[in-house]
Amino acid sequence: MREASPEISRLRSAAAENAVPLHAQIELTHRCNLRCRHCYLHDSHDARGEELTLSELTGIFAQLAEMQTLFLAFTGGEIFLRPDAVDIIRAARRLGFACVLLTNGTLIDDRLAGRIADLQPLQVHVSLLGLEQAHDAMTMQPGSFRQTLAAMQALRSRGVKVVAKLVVTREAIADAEALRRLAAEQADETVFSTTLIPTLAGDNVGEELHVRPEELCRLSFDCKIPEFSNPGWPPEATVCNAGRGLLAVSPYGEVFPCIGFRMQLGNARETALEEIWRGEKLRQLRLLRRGDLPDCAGCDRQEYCTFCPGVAWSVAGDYRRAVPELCQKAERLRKFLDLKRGGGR
Amino acid sequence: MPDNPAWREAALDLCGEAEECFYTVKLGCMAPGIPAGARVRVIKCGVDELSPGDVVLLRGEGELLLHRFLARWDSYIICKADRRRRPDKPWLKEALIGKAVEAVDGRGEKLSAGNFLARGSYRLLGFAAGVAYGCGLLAGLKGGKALPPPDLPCKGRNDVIYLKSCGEVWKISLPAGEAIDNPLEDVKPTAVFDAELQVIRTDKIQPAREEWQLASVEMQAISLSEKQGLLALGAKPNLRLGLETFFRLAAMRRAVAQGGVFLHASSVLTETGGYIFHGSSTTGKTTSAETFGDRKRDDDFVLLLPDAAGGWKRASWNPFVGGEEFAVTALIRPRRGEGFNLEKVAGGEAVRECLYLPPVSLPVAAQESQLAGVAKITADIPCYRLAWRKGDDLPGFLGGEIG
Repeated sequence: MREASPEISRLRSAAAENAVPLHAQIELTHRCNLRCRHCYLHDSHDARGEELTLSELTGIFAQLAEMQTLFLAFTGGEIFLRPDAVDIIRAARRLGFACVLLTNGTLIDDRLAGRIADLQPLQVHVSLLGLEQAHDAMTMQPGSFRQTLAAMQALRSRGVKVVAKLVVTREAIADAEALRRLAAEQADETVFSTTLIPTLAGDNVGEELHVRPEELCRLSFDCKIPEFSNPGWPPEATVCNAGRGLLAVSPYGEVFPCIGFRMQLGNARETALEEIWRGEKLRQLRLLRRGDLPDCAGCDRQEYCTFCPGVAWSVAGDYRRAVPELCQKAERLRKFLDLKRGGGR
Repeated sequence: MPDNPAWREAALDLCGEAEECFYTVKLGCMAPGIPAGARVRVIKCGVDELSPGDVVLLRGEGELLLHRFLARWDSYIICKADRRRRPDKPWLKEALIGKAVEAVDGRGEKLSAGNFLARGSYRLLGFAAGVAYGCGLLAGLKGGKALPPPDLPCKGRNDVIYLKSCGEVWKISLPAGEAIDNPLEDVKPTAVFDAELQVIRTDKIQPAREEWQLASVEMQAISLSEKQGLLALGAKPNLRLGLETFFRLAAMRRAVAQGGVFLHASSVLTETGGYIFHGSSTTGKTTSAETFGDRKRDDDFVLLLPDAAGGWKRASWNPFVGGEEFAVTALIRPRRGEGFNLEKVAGGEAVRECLYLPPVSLPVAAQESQLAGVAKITADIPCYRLAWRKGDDLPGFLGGEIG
């Protein structure tokens, strides 16, 4: 993934240090036309109430503008299941936000691609879960792979930057190299991810989907998976950007530190975002340092641990607790790096 | 006084030896400002004494007409009836009898001077008319006087016109034999002719064109009646675009190629520096720039490029606007307010307020390039929000605060 410009990196650091929500994630809907097996919303696609309206979202955007937010990421569910998705994004663009759209692409035809291009998003992220067979098996929707590729082409032909997010699971590991070549042709940028986060109900995604370190090591290329780089965190390091330079809003107005960290801070339908952002829960979270994690003192995997308070919250109900999912992930990283150091394949 | 004997005679017919006369308006083409039946006092004058917006009395074919003066070009004057969208065919300057200075309506009530004296809003229209007619329309008129011929080669079968602005000349080739529709549907001098732009060629323009070519922009042709241009953009060799968009797009591509940025803004150069007033439409960018200084350089769109010293310079992007480069002192986002208020802005907020991502075709990742550029300029150049209201002493205030 291309590095952010030095000025953007400085903005991000300054925002996190000063508790400015430079980034906001907006879940437009939890509804989706696919049923991806790895998705954290896998069992939660049914609407649980009234989604935020265009008017409500416009009000939220105005508040975010006041709070000095610059980046908005629109995600779902599938955002284009909402007939007013383009209007919503346009409302955000009118306020000058730099917008990133996350979509499965299956609903994007030529006409919608043109409308999206007019919105001038910074990037459109599209997930590829394998080659055709593996992708469709993962989405549980035959034909979805071809629809997604068609959307990527339609968007790129209109000058929209498409980022292919290649989700590397065990089922798709055999496709990884071919998928990388395909993505190089069909997207402007490619990122790999092995992160599978627990569902909203706190259930861990099946172990069978997690890719093994030895499988990754067998790849003939370095997929530079961010979470598989050695973090080497010092104890005084902050844990992550959630609630410091980032906040998230659900389709129902719930406010979280991050879409992967579902600790509800308040509801934007009832409370001003600024008040939620300055609240006690986030104040406490911002104080959290890696050395404060109670279960982790003395752990020999600390330097491999990409601790995620969101996963801890989902699984244990306490964002400071070590949970098996995180420890297993650290173990995978250690094994991966050991194999790499030993030239293991 | 007109020096043509025939017109002198006509004027004398009307006014005798007197320096002024009264004329009763016959038609409603200047209503509602000057309705039919109004009686107008006209003083004789020459073309040099007119300002755009003046209401003038003209001697037409067998009739007198009261129309509004827009511009002068060579031996012609451009006028227009208020109720018509388009200007008259150019009048020989000898058709001018004089200008209206006072009027009463049919009931004898005095009409506001604003209805018939020069108004600022006509200056732009006048400029556009001057450019449009002066550059070519007259060449196509039967019996019209030839334009002052720019020292440029004329090629092909087409008639040739020249657009001139800010000391720069554009050569435009008109399809032979086709009627030239009346210009000024749009007051912008960039969108007035049924023509194809074939060559941009003066020593002064050429470097800019070369720069555009460096940015992979190839200008091919422009149909001004459709307000579209034909622009070659690498993989899209026949992209048709609005003329204004054409120039902007070229500038945007230059910005992407050269590490610059483009802003939805107006720029002005003052004795204390160069200032950019940016923001969305109707927020007062133009008004602020015009009020702050009289050397406004860009309206609605500004191109900023990195300079050799690591700073930023305003660059010319359109031959219809001023060509000089200048350093930028401040980025200011104006809005209407109850009084002066100047607030410094920084960080992501400044970026968001400056970030301009128009819905036009740009190279992939241009948005990211623009974002990075805006993040840099807002870090390099002081950014402000300004509240003010018309009539305030903006130069005095801003000059004291940031000048």
